[in-house]
Amino acid sequence: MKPSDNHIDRAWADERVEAYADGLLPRRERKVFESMLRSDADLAHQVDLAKQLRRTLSGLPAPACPDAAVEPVLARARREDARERERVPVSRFGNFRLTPARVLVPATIVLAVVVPLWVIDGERSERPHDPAEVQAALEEVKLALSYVSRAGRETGSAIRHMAVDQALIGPVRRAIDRADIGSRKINETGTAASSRESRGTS
Amino acid sequence: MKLREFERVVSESRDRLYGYALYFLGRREEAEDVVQEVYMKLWERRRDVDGSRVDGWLVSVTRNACRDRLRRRKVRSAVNVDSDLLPEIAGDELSPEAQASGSLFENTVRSVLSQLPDPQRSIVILREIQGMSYREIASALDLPMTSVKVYLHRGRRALRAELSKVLHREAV
Repeated sequence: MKPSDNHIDRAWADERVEAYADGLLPRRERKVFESMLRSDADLAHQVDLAKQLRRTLSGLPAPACPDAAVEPVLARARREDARERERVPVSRFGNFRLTPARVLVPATIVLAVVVPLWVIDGERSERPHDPAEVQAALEEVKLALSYVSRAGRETGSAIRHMAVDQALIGPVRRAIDRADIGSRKINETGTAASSRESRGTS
Repeated sequence: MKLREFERVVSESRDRLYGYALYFLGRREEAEDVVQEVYMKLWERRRDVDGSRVDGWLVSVTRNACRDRLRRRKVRSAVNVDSDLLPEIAGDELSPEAQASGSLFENTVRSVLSQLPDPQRSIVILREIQGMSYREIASALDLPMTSVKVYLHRGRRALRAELSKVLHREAV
């Protein structure tokens, strides 16, 4: 609603009290409003009230939050964070888990190589070389190497079984089987259709 | 969100959230409970809350928690007729000197404020008492900026009308 010069609507003015108190009225409206303020004591009172209300609200104290309200939460967060840190693995290998087999196999290999060499080296430094002893040592080395070789083969076959057979060959074989069955079905359907066609033509 | 960041957020926002809850509910114990509840929720959802919007998230959750409290109060008072619905003026937060100097007008403003409907009450608290920008309020309350301005205007007008009545009664 726009006021005319002759008739200034009070409802129009009431709507503009807040904007006037904020200093946001456009120049022309402000002039009309101010002229009305001079003649309307109640409107002037409303403007005073609006200004006083703003001052009071912005001057209300900002109460400080008591520690009792946040300390229990912070304590819980710290406890849970510490617990989570304990649970995180220290290893750099992510989900790598240490199993007995993963410890025993390398340890056996190391022992099988290092101990005979150490024994041979110790005996060689004590006495001059005896051909029979050299032969026996060679036999021991062969035995150790064959043991290492066997352990290696077994580890390799276990890895192949787990990684290659189960993870790769198995799915490929199953896929081939499914493709084979599918093609057989197509062939069978094709043959049946062609036999039907041939029967129809005859 | 990690522990360090959580602690920083709590340290920076605790007074603002507590002030909002206190002016909204008008009761110190309830405001403390609400703040605790809100931070507990933040810690539990720390992996989902967007760190760049945490301030708005906190205000929004605090407002919902305050509204829940008011609803519970109304249910309780429906069963037991007591003074629960009467707002407790938050003057007990003030020091004795401040209380002594607190004018009738100021106490009336507090009382009338706690009777405003929401979202007008939230917007008046956030804008007039806590000095938040229209944009921040709009984002926190998930409202368009124009609606924030309209609600603020209505809230101020309602406060003024109530104050006029109260002050008139006092004068008579």
